[in-house]
Parts: sequence; structure tokens; C-alpha cells
Amino acid sequence: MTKIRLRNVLFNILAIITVIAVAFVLFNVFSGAKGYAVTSGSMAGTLNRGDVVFSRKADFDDIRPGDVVTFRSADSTGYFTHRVVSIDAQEKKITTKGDANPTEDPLPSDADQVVGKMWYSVPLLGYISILVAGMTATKALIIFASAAVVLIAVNLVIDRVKKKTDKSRGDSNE
Amino acid sequence: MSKLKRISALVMALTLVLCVGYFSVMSPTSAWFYDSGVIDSGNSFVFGDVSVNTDYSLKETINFDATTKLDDPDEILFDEVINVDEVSVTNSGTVPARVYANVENKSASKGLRWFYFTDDMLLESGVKKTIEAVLPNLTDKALDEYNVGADGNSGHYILLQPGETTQVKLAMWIDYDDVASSINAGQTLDYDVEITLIASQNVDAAIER
Repeated sequence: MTKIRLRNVLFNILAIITVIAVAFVLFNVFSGAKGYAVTSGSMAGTLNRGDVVFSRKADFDDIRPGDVVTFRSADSTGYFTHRVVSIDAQEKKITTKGDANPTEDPLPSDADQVVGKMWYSVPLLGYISILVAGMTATKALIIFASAAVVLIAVNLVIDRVKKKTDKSRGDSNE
Repeated sequence: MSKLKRISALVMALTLVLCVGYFSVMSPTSAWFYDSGVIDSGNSFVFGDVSVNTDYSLKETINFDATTKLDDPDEILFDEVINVDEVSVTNSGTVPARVYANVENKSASKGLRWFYFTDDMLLESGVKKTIEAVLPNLTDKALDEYNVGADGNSGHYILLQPGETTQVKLAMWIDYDDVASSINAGQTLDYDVEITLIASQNVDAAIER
């Protein structure tokens, strides 16, 4: 009885987590938000390492000083997210600064480097991406294999306990 | 557990794995880094996750035995007279990082030239042949663009993966055209130089030297 209850509880927990995760993913997909894992501390206080910043596409005219904006690097190999300090509307250049940095960034960004304006952020979620990115294929394989072995072992133990319980129940019934 | 519940659990587990997959492929976002902290520990430079640029600085006086000229095709002793400084650089962090270099001549004497490289770039025939292979031409302008970039704030960098250590090298020499008159006046070839290595995140940006 207790075992069945435990399984039901686990099933319900799995169901709740799955529903929340799916709803969260769908919410971002349909609202056009794109997530970026924060890997550095230059925006500490607003965005910490390990946070995920969700940015939504924004036109140059929608950007105001004080907005936190995600930019594509000049060679399109990466992204950075900083706060807008000033905007040169004529030259279409945006000057930015990290909240934790003492001075403004050395070069302004072009308007076409803007990929989105920060909508909201979620703490710690970015560690999934950071951990996976820092993993070698071998390390990832070992972790997945270890997790599989642990799950199989847990399943075996549960089955053995179940068989033992059933057997002792049968013996007592006889 | 009923069969339906078992199938549901399996479907939910797979869905959850897909969701985790969605979170794990999110692009990283970082920032530009330019605020310098100085780490000077002999001939080794160890840095971690660089949330701001981390600098290594080494000041020394170099006495050159002779002058030379990079673009002189008859100069066969180039590799004999250059001074090569070597620094062990370690990325002890968890993200790849770039290491840029700069050499500043603190002396009044002119003529100092330098070239930033690692052994894996080095051709068997020597430093001069390596420079010839890397630069489009052997002018001072091409050398500067290679070392520090056309804007003075970019240029050649060594990419270090997390946990990687490498020996970076700086070849320095004195261009004889620049110092011919001072040598004739009996001046020695002592140069005060400051070598700076700058660890920066692996994103394109301007860096402060």
C-alpha cells in the first residue's frame, strides 16, 4: 500500500514538473522570447552568472537608455547583454555598460547587432547550458551512463523488495 | 502501477528530457571586458573565469647583442640575434579564453619590434620564416596589424581551452635602420620593455591595452 502511494506521489511530481517545463518552453516559443545563459558577472546585481535572460526582438526605435539589451558580436560568433547608456539616433549606434563594470563599454554597437531587449530573467536555469557547454563528449557519456546504471539499480531494488513483500504476504496467507 | 500510468510516466520522462535539452542549448551571453587587474608572478600567468580582463605584466631590461632587419632578404642571422621571452599561460577557468599580447618600449631608443607566437606556429626553419608565413608582407604596418590589430585593440590571440596551459612566446629585435646613428654614437642596445598579456573571454570586442 505504502509502495503504491509512493509510486503515485513520484508519478504526480513527475507530472507536475513536466507540465511546468512544457508550459514554460511553449510560453517562450510562442511569445518569441529567446533565452541566453549568462556566463559572466559584468551585469552582477541585475543578471548573475547562471541566470537565463529571455530577450524579445526589438526595433532600434523601441530601445531606450536603461534597457538591458542583448547584442550579437561583430563577427556573429557570440552574444553579450549589457545596459544601454546612450543612443546615437543619427549614427544608429548604441553605447552600453555592464552594471558591475566601472565604465562604459569601449565601442558602441551598431543597431543591426541588436538581437533583443531583455524581457525577464530566471535565476540558475542557465547552469544547465553552462554545464553542458563545458562538458566533453566523454564526460557527458559517463554522466548519462552512470545515471542509467543508478536508475536500473533502483528499479532492481524496488522489484526485489516488491517480490519479497509479495512472497511474505503469500506465506502469511498460507 | 497501471499500464496507462507506466506509458504516461515514460512519455513524461521523455518530454522532460526534451525540455532539459531546450534549456541546455541556449546560447551563452557574456560581455565586453576591459577593466584590468594585474597578476604578475614571474614567468607564469594563471587566470580563471574572466568576468573582466585579467592582465599579466612583466617589466624587464633587454640587452640586444646586435641589430637586424626583418625585411632584409640577405639577413640570415635574424634568428640568432632576436630575444625570445617565454611565459607559461594557464586557463584555470571553465570557459575558453583568449590571450592577447602587447610589448611596450619604455626606453627613449627607437627600433624595437616584436612578434607574438606559440611553438605550434613555429616552422622548423625558424622565427623569421614563421613571420614570413604569417604576415602578408614584411612591413612594420603588417607586423603591427598582426600583433595589436589595425585599431590597436585587437590582433593575434592564443585561444586556451579550460584547463589548458601553453607557452606563449614574444620574439623581440631591434631594426638597424632605426638605430644606426645612435650605435655609431656609441650607444648600447639596452631596452626597457613592458610585456602585457591580456586574458579575455572568447568573444570579439575591443580590449583596452
